[in-house]
Formats: sequence, structure tokens, C-alpha cells
Amino acid sequence: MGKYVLKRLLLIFPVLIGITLITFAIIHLTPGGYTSVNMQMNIKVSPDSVARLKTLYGLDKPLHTQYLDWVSRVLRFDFGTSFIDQRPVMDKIYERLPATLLLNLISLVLIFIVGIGIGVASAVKNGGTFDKVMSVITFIGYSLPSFWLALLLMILFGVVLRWLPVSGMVSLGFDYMSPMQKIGDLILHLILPVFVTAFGGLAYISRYVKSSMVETLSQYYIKAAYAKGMPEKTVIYKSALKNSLLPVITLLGLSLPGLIGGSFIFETIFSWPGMGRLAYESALSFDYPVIMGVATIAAFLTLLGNLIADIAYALVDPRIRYR
Amino acid sequence: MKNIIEIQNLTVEYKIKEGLVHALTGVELHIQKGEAIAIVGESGCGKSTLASALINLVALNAVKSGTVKINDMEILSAGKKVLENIRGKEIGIIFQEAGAALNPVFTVKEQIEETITAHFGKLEKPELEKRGLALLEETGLNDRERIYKAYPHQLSGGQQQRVMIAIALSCNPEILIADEPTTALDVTVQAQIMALLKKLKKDRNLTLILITHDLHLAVDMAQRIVVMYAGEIVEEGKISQEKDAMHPYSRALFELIPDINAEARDFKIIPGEVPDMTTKENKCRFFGRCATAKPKCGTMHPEYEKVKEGHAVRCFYPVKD
Ligand SMILES: Nc1ncnc2c1ncn2[C@@H]1O[C@H](COP(=O)(O)OP(=O)(O)OP(=O)(O)O)[C@@H](O)[C@H]1O
Ligand SMILES: [Mg+2]
Repeated sequence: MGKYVLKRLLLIFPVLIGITLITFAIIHLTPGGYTSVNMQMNIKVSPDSVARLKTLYGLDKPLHTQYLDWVSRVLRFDFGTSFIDQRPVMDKIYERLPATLLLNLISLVLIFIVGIGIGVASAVKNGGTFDKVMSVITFIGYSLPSFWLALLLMILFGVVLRWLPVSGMVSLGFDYMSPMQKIGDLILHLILPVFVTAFGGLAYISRYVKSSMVETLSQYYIKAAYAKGMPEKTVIYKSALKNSLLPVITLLGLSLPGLIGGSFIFETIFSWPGMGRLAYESALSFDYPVIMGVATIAAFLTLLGNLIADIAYALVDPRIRYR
Repeated sequence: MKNIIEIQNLTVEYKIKEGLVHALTGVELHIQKGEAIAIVGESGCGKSTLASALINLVALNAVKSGTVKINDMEILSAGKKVLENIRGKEIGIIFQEAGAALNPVFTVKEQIEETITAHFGKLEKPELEKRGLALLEETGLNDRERIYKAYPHQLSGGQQQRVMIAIALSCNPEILIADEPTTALDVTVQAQIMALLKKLKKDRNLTLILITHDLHLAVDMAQRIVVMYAGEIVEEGKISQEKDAMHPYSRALFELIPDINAEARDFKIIPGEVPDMTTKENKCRFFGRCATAKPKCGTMHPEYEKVKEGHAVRCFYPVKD
């Protein structure tokens, strides 16, 4: 097991190199660029100063040299400074990370707890009313573009009904609130973003759990469990549940990229002060160091999540033993 | 002697797209306490369905009628609680494939102890473990400490089947059903498991129902043989050799089985196939494969009739020589 974990940890590095290389290539191949957006449009800036700036940021060097420079700095844990405000990239990410983690962890927990609940309930009464209603809802969940759902909910709950705040993480007067009020305020701000972030995943997980559970319930060992005289509840929630939830652990790892990808969109829609919005803003202004920093951290977190999911799977499934 | 099992006019049909599979039709069977009987027949003739019906655990698409009484308790109409009490505690069952009947993600210990707990409530841990290990000893397992903590995939086929037997006996049932307990095993292990079942039958004074397609094995284990064909009982009686059998199908089954010691294991297959189980024609089900069939057999369905004390046959022309 230890050896396996080590191997997987080491494998993170080649994958990270691949991801950063591709990100790097894409942002540099995109038409436009830092200097064109921020200077060439401006008639007051002379071509001379543009060239000087390029030299300053090393943008005049060949691409592969730029990438290697970047890698050698990152190896020293130096992600550089933002082109826009000259602040260290790490600082910028560091202050945005908690908001993103908060939103995504709550969504993830919700997706799995509620998704598993719905899935199991649908499987136990397969074809029943609850199952049918859930099929329709999850079908909607799959097919609705979630950014559209987000806008719709914002209009309904934020503009028409005025029940929920539609942007940001806290209200203006947050600093002057009592601790209880602060928590309440945060929760209110969380409701819409969490719901929208979780909705698609919820649909997916609940259908997956349902089919996994239905499949398990048809197994021979479930018949054998009934034949031993075990009560139905024990058979379903002990004998069958463990078998059908094992593959779901792997999904936990697989759902991370989707969540991170979703963050870019939803954080921007809801003005959520997280990493996704930071990446979006940086992309608009061709702030290369920040884009690269966010991409690296996001990739690292995803890979780590996958690894944790795989290890958890190996720990709970007795049939899997890694060498 | 008192009948521990009484089956009357038991019919089980599976609903499928193409219609109904008549898995069991009008089955009549009485089994006395402490008896060892064998149910014999080719694949697909309804043996496992009969075993499942005895604990009212047939598939959800099954339609069942008739009565099954265990110790005078009607099973087919019984409620959940009654069934839970009977399953495992009055009737233990060993399935065709132990590998598939054991839950892959729980240890042997967990699977034995959960059965005991289901019937006797929560016992002290050491007491549970003591009982579990004693069961493994009774089923002839060595290396018990390891096997007790092992997962099913860490055991050999023979060990899995012994564990299955231990589970089936864990709540001291009076009746043990063994549904082809050795089909998935190789010949030497088969013989060991059979010897074990024989011993357990004697030691625990079990009522044993052995289900098999091997008539020789059946004759070796049981005092009474029940032969099934296409969902019907076609013969029942004390059969210990070929000439005791009176139904042409039973005779054919005797010839079917090769000598285990024979070099080439070429089975002599009965010509023809088991009839389509979704149709019920007015003729003998064995008509078409029967070597001694006469015209009448193709126009009427024979009744199940007593030919002598303790012996009944479903045939217009029982073989008598
Ligand atoms: N759930 C089901 N749905 C539809 N048909 C079924 C179902 N279970 C069994 N059958 C059919 O019912 C018939 C009897 O099956 P059963 O399993 O009782 O046979 P068997 O005598 O145990 O055979 P084998 O020796 O192969 O185990 C077969 O034709 C089988 O295909
Ligand atoms: Mg069978």
C-alpha cells in the first residue's frame, strides 16, 4: 500500500507537467496577448515601451525558454507576480482559495449525501412513484445548461422574490455583524451558488447510485442473505449498500474536475470571490502568471483528490490490493 | 412419522416477455423429519425453483399457487416476520455456487455472525466468535483462525462451500437444502463435501434435501429419490439402482452418468432436448425423447399415480423388469 501511494504521488508530476504545458501553450497561442490588450490599443504608449515591457516580463524570448523559466521558478515555489497589480501570484491565489474550497466542499458533500440517498431510495422501490419523479428531475438536471439555471434562479429568488442575495460571499455590512449574523449571512449567500454547483452532479450521482444498487440487489449473495433470514433492512442497508457504494468512491475523485471547471463559470456569475473568478479575470487581461498559477493549483488539487479517492477505494474494497 | 414438509399442488410460473415459464406444475411432496431425500433432474427442470419455494424466496416475476407447509406453518402466504424466522433458523440452504452466494465485501466472520445475530439477537463478542469457529471446525476446515477473518475471494472453492455450509447450519436448522452443492467443484473436493454432508446429516439428525443432476450421487446420499422433469415430479420412491426406477426418464438418467473412474468422460446424453417450458401441450412432457413411448403418450398428459407403497410414477407405461 505504502509503495502504491508513493508511486501514485510520483505520477502526479508528469501529469502536472503535461497540464501546465498545455495551459501554457494555449494561453500563448490565443490571439492577442498581455501587451496588445493593455498597451497597443493605447495610442499614448509608444512601440518602444511595449518592447521594453516585453523584455521586462521575458515575453520576447522563445516560448520554450519562457516555459522552462516558469518551471524553474515554480520548482522554487515562486509563481511570479501578477502583471496587473504586481502582487505575488501565490498571495492572490491564497486569498481566493478558501472561498472556492468552501463552495466546492459544501457542494461535494451535498452531492454525495443527497445523491446517495435519492439513488438508494429509487433503487429500493425501483419503478415506484418516487423513482419516476426523480427520473424526471434528474433528466432535467442533466439537460439544463447550469449557467442558464443560475441566471433563472438569480432572477427568481434575487430580483423577483428578493429572498436571497445574488452576488458576492457576504453583505456590505458584514464586518459590523455579530458572529451569528455573520454565519447566517454567509449561508444566505451560499444557497444559490451551492445549489447550482451541485445540481448537475446530484443528478449524475443519484442515477449512478441507483443503477449500481439495482445491480447489487439482483446478485446471488443478496438472495443468499435473505435465505439466511436476515431482515430486509439489514440486507439492503448493510449487505447491498456497501457493495453498491464502493464504485461511488471513485466517482468522488472523477467529479473534481467538473466542480473546478464549474467554479470558473459560477463564481463569475455569482461574483463569488474565489479562484475560478480570479482565473476568469486573469484570462481576460492575459495575466499569464496568475493563469498559470491557478491552473497548476487546480490541477494539483484535482490529482490529489483522485489519489485520495483511489486510496479510500483500496482501503474499503477488500478485493483490491495494490502492490 | 410426522411430515416436516408438506407440499401440495405447488405451481410456480415466471412471467417473461414471451409468456409464462412453467417452472413447477402441480408438485406434491411430503418429507418426514430426519429423512434424506434427493431431487434429481436435468438442468432447467425446476429444481432450484422448488428449493426457493420452500422458503418462499422465488424471483419477483414469479406467480405461485398451492401450499407449502413447514412444521404445519403455511409458507407461501406467510408474512415477512414469519418468513425471516423460518429462513436460516428452520431451513438452512446451501446454494449452487458458493463463490457467488458469499458477499464479496464482508469477512467470513461477519457473514456467519450476522446470521446468528439475526436469529438470536446480539450476543457477547467472544460467544459469537466461539460459535463461529466451532461451526468452521464442524465443517472440517483447518486453519480456522485465518479463514474466519478472510474475505470470500481469499478462499478456495471447497473452503467457500464449507463456509456456506457453516452459515447454513449456524442457527441449528432442522432442515438443510443443498442445491447442487458440488457442481462448481472438482471431483476430489466434491467427494469430500458429500462426505461432510453425510456426516452432518447424521450428527445433527437433519432433514436433508439434496438437489443434484447426478442420480448416482443421489442414490448414494438419499433414502428416497424424487425425479423431476420439465417442472413436474415424474417419479418418487426408494430407488437404489437402475432397476428400481420405473419412469423411462429415470432409467435414462441412470445411463447418463459416466463412471467417475472411466478414462474418457464422455457423457451419454439423452437424445433430444428439454421441452419449451413456456408451452403446456396435452402430452407427456418426455414424449419425443422417450425410447419406449407409445401413441397414447403423444395425445394425453399422464397423471402422477401410485404404483406401490411409497412409489409413484407419472407414466402410462412404467418400466417393470
Ligand atoms: N427469474 C426467472 N425468470 C424467468 N425464468 C426463470 C427464472 N428463474 C428460472 N427460470 C426458468 O425456470 C426454469 C427452472 O429453473 P430452475 O433454476 O429452477 O432450474 P434448475 O433445475 O435448478 O436448473 P439447474 O440444474 O441448471 O440449476 C428454467 O427454464 C429457467 O430458465
Ligand atoms: Mg438450479
